[in-house]
Amino acid sequence: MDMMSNELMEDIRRVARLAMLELNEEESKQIGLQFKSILDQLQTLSELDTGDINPFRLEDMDPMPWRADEVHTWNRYSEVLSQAPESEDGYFKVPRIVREDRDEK
Amino acid sequence: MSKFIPVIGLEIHVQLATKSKMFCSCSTDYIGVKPNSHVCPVCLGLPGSLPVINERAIMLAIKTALAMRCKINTHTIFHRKHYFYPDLPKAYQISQYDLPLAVDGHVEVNADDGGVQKIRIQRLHLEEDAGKLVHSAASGRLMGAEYSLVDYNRAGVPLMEIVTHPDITSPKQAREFVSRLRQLVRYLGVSDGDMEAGSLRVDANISVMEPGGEYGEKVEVKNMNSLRALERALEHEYERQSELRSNGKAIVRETRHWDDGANITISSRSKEEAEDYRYFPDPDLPPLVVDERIIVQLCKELPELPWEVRDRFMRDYGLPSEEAEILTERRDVALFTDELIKQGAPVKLASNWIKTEILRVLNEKGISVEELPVKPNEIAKLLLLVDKGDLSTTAAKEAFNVMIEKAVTVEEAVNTLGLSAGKITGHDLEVVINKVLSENVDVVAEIKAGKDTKGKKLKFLQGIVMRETKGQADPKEVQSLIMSKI
Amino acid sequence: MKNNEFLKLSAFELTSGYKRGSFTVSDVIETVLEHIEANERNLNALITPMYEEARSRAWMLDAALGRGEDMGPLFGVPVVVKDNITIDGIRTTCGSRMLENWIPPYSAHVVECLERAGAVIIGKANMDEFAMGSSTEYSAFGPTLNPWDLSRVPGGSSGGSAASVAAGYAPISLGSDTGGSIRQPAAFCGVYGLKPTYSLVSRYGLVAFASSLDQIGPFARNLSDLAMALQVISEVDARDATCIRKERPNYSEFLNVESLKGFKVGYLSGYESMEIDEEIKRGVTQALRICQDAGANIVEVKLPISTRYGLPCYYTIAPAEASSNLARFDGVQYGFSVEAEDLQDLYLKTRGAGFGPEVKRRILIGTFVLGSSRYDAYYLQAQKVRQLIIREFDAAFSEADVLLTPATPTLPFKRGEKITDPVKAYMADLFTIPANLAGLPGLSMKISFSHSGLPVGVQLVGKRFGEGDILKTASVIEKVVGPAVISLGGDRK
Repeated sequence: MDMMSNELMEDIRRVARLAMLELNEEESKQIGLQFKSILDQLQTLSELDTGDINPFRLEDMDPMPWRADEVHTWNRYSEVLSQAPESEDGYFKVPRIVREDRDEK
Repeated sequence: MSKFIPVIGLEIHVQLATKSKMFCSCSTDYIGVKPNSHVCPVCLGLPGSLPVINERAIMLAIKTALAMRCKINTHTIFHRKHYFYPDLPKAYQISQYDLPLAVDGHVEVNADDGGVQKIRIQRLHLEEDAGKLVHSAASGRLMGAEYSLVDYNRAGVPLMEIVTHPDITSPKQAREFVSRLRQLVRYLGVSDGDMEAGSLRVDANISVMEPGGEYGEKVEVKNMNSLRALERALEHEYERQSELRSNGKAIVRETRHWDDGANITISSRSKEEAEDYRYFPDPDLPPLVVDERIIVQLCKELPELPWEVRDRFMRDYGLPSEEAEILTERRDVALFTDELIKQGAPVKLASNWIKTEILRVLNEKGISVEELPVKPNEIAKLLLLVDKGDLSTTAAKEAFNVMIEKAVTVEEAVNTLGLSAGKITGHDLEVVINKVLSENVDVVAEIKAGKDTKGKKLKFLQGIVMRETKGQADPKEVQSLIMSKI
Repeated sequence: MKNNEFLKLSAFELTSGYKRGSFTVSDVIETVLEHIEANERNLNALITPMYEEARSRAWMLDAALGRGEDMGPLFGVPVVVKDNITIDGIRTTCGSRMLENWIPPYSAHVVECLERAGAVIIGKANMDEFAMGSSTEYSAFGPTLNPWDLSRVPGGSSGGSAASVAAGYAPISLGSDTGGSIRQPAAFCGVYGLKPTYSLVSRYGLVAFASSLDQIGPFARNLSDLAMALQVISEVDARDATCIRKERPNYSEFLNVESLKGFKVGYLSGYESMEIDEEIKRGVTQALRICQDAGANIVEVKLPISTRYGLPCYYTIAPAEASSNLARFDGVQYGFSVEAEDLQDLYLKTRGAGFGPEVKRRILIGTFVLGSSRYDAYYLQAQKVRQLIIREFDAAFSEADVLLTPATPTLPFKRGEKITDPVKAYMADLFTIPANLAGLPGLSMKISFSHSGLPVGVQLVGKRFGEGDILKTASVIEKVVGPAVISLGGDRK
């Protein structure tokens, strides 16, 4: 079993953070091992010469259909809160937001 | 301080005036509505839901782009922008990234040294709005709130994002730019562009540089909820950065909030690392293709733009620029002006009347010109009477009020007020003047005694006469008759 | 009137029987439900059996029949639906703790289609969590067993749907296929499983795994039922912007083909020397021979890039899209939620505890390859390779009308065998993945049984919207080898 580089563990930590996934020690280690072998596999793609390929050939793809600007009320809206883990007065409720990620209006 | 030049770029989000949301058919009406009632599986981001684009949002965005002389990309795509926050139901926002709907336009503003300056538009793209958060802290702000409440009524409302190049060279100019943009979106009927209500939001990037020097580190400024706040926030930030630079200190690249109460910008809590949005093309949305013919059609349908109308008023009506600006501030008023003049009202008179009486009524009643109970041709008739001298300005104002309140014609208003079409003059006028003079003997005496150096007392007598004659006397005649009698 | 014979009837035979008055919908449904109850403790093919709903529905349908009302094409036919497809009011778990108790307030388009066609939905099928897996061992509700050998896996991720049809719960079931999740379990369970052309069937109501690869498709025990199911679910849907708007052909018309004269069937160059179970190779050869006997030209086709690079290409794109689609599961609106002091904790703990290891693995890979510094080297490159694979298939289809390949490299493996090494487990999708990448239709069908009594399947791949060519070819093969059969406790009747 090769030593798992600090760089890889750091990558996993960072990625787990971005994906908001809490991993315990065991999971991190397990995933670390698998990560390396999976990424090695994925990297084989770089063997292929894909120079001038545009993966999003917009002209060849079927275009997006447009929807007319009409209002249709969804009649089940009153049920959405019934499965909310936490709610109050018709709102969904979330605990303390510590990081001021965005400016709201 | 003054040796630094501000370098300002703006990022503006405009809510589009569609009936339904960007990707679903829920109503976009969210102000004062019960929370979480204008929602559906799509805008809630329920598992299995899929987006379908609103055609009108596309049209409104293209119109705006065309008005700003942008190049429309006929083939564009939507990207997903990922981050976790409670007001974002899917934990990603559908937006556009490296292939936006429109690029490379410009809007003209006044240059700081007089003349005109082009502010270049880097891009214009479509995206969906997030929901709203209500924080439990007494201040209503995030800081110190034990919990927050989420309402998804606004989630999915169509937004247009407009980004300028950093061409703006002063806070005042930034204000003007936003003001023009606001005017434009209202003219086009694309948005109500209300900063206080949140249908037009501005973020700014500002740095300072020495003339001929290098660009400085830029700071993002957010939370400016009015034109005034925008200007003041940028002024403050310019000073803050200039001072730091003068003292040889570095500017930290960060985001700062404008605190309107304290009149300062405050640094947002710095994050451990920059946000990685992991943009990738949204696989649920095929490419957005806009037929060239649609673009041509929309171009044809563009109304006269606000600055075009203003320029025309200056040119055709010989109005000075400030006056033209006021008359063309609102599209309905501009059209009304045209109509009035077309119906024969003299330009100067029409302009004054609109600036004073018409705008007053519109603002008092909060209505648009179409909702005025009086038609332009009636008002034109009224103004013609004034022009001919058949009606004094005072009388005309009274008549106008009656016309507005009772929705009647000029003739009916004049009759109601007992104003005759003609004037009170000559002998009839003398009768009135004699009466007034006899009732104000002491004033007459003072004038005779030479105590009316400023002519105030004469005016006073004149005023009474005008009142007595219900404005139907010729002021000059009144004046000369009074003087001759004294 | 319960009768185990009902379990063997095809959808067509059922609807005919109802029309003739030979039996009622309630008769059939009662039999089916009892059969399920008796077998579920062994098979665990369903997460949520719908006993009450099915009974009420049967009762209503019988009443409608009595009134002489019009019968839809799937009238009174029991159908099982994979648990990542929403049904209004019925728990939809996606095989995950995260949605253990989620009750969707709306039904998927395909479910609405089934209901309009008169079908009776009898349960939600077990699956690998969020459709990620090839064995249904990654379900939070326990594994499903292979009806042909209870020590083996039924395949995945639509293991429950495949097993349901193989075990006689229903003549038709719906699954979803992102990298082979219909075709591989179909092969393992000895039934037919079709992944339609990407964009043919609306994904509205399918809990997304990888949006550019996912398709809902039918399982059945014969082609006629399969074609009918496809017809019903492929109805156009404006709620899915990727769902193609053009008219669907009449799929049943492609069946009952006598001759494949002028038709070109391609086989994968070098398949005989690939690391594939011998019996599967023999199955492919047998199928090719049948086509040849029916007049088809057999041509060799080369797909080197798809074979060599299909897996890494898929395992870059699919996890990337999955990481995005699964970001919405955060404990705020619905589903599993952990009590937390602050928002960050809510997210971290809910997602940490709500997702299983395979899902977490893929989310992490996906998040990694979409990272701004990695995007070009990984995700973008994979999308470019995808284009190469599409071109390769385009070239192949200028030589052949349909391709005949193995569906899987191995026969159904033992439970627990692959789960320890996920990378090895990914190999199970070797032959199925390329069709997802290229958006092509693929049918997996039983060709024979191995010496040990395990089903052997082969795969037919067509051009985009080439379901007709596939059905034609399959129909010729079916005529010779016969349709799929039910495993009723190992008794291959």
